[in-house]
Amino acid sequence: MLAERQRADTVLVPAERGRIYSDDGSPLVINQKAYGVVLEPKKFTNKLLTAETVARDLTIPVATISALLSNENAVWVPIAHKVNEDKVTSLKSKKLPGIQYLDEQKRYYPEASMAAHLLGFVGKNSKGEDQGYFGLEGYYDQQLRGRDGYIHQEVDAQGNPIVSGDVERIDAEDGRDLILYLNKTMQFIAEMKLKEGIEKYEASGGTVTILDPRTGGVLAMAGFPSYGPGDYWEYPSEYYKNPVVAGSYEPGSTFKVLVMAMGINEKKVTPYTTFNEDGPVKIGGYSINTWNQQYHGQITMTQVLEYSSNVGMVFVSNKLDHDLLLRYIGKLGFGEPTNVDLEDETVPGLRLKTQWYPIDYATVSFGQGIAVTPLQMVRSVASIANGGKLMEPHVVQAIKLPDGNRIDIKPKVEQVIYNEETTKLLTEMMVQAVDNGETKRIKPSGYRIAGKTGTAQVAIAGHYDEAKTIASFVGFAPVEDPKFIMLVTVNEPKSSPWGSETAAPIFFSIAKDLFSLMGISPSY
Amino acid sequence: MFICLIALFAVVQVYLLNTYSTIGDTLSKLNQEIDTVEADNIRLNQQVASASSLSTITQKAKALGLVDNPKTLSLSSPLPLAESFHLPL
Repeated sequence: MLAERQRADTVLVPAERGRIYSDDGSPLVINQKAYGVVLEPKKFTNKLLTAETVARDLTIPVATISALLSNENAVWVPIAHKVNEDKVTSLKSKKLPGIQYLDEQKRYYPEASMAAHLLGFVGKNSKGEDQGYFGLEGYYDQQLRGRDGYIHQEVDAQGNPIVSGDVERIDAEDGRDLILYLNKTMQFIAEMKLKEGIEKYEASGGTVTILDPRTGGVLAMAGFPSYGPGDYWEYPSEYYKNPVVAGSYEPGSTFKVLVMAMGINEKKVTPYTTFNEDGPVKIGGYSINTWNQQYHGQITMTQVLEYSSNVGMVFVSNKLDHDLLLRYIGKLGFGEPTNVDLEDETVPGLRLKTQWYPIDYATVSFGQGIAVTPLQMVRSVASIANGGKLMEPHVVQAIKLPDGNRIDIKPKVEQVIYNEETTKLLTEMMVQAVDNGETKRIKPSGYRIAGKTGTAQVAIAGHYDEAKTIASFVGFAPVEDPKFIMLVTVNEPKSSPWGSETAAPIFFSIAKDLFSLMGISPSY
Repeated sequence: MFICLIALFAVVQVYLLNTYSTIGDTLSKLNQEIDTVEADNIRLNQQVASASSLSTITQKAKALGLVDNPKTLSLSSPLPLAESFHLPL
């Protein structure tokens, strides 16, 4: 065996990990040269000088290096992995014997921490191999990592390959590249405006999710607090979880549009059906009020959305058979994963039918008593924007193979929820809700935007916290041919608890930029 | 004749082995050059990606004195209520 090692050499040919690109081909994640640094103590001429130089150049405590070198018999001592090229260049210039540099690669993020939750990061598994965690790096790890190759060949005394000697070769297969639906500029705008809004409204966090309602493609996905995938170990591990796909909340009044659509789809109500909003509604031992304790008398279903009337929604819910209401909620995908291609999706379950009481059917009509993720919420409202179809959300639109071929991932219709007439009617009702509701003074003029505010109390330990809310706004535009649907959530804003005063301004601020970016002209 | 052929093959073999024995060194050098060029490629890709990143462009734009888009001014006035109510009768 010793003779074999002297005359033959096996060289690992590492596969390059696949890269991740935005929709226009801009790189979001690429690879950069890095090195593993190994010390060979038996080749040192000055152990102390070597240890101090390595510690200084690699920014590692001297004590750590000394501890690793404490074994007198050690021949090969790995010191560091994925060391940047500039540090290695500095160390190489010292020409110290007994230091080996192994070729490695590490991820490079040109946009720094942008889209961190979506991308995930690359860490090590228990075997010391690179492994993707969270987001796309986790979900597509097998496709991204490729397969290392090797060359086993005879060598001469100097270690040079003998051309006529035995050669055994397995070529490396580089990882596949991912091309996303994500628009880099939209993502940048969403993150910037969300961060500004969280600071302005003194919130604990928030999310922005923008989808293409026609395909289910994720155009932007932002969540704070966040982290940097390039130095993920510097952040608390609870920041790694993507709040858009793994954070649950009660949607509040944004859910009203879905229940109203159910009522119209089943022809139980029309936009002109009237209801007498003359006071609280009693259900069992509970009393359901309007959010502002104001009651407007005879109002239409359109006005129920404009006023965001809880009691009006109980009226709609009572028109629907309980089984039918639960069936629609199931069809809209609540209680089940959306199957988005991100590793960290976890969704809250729905209570069993036997655990639903009359008060629950009433409260779910205005989005309380049901927990959803932001992604579940926005893609279900997208079914109103796209003519009634529930789309499977997707981050990746195509996979590029190392040979240059491309596999396109076709948009998938999970099922049809509403008929087209229902969606047209709901769209107009939502436009009225924006134009005549609490957001009428802040919406951009000239554009018809369909939307709904939401302010939900936060459920803690079986009851609702009186002081805390999750404020939200969901909307899509332009209504004639929706190009985007967006959901903004703001967690526990201190300046104001209301969606109309926190989430809605963030939504409209982003929407204005999206109109410019997408070349959407005003409607009037 | 047969012996001559064997002798000729032996001479050719010695010549070829002698020639190939130094090609390994050339091959090593070429492999090193390939590694260097590939490393340069990776480095340049990284520099291009960094220079064209939105955060870099934003910083450079601000340094050049460029500002965010000013607020959009709408020249139209809101539609009359009857016209803005699109729901079918």
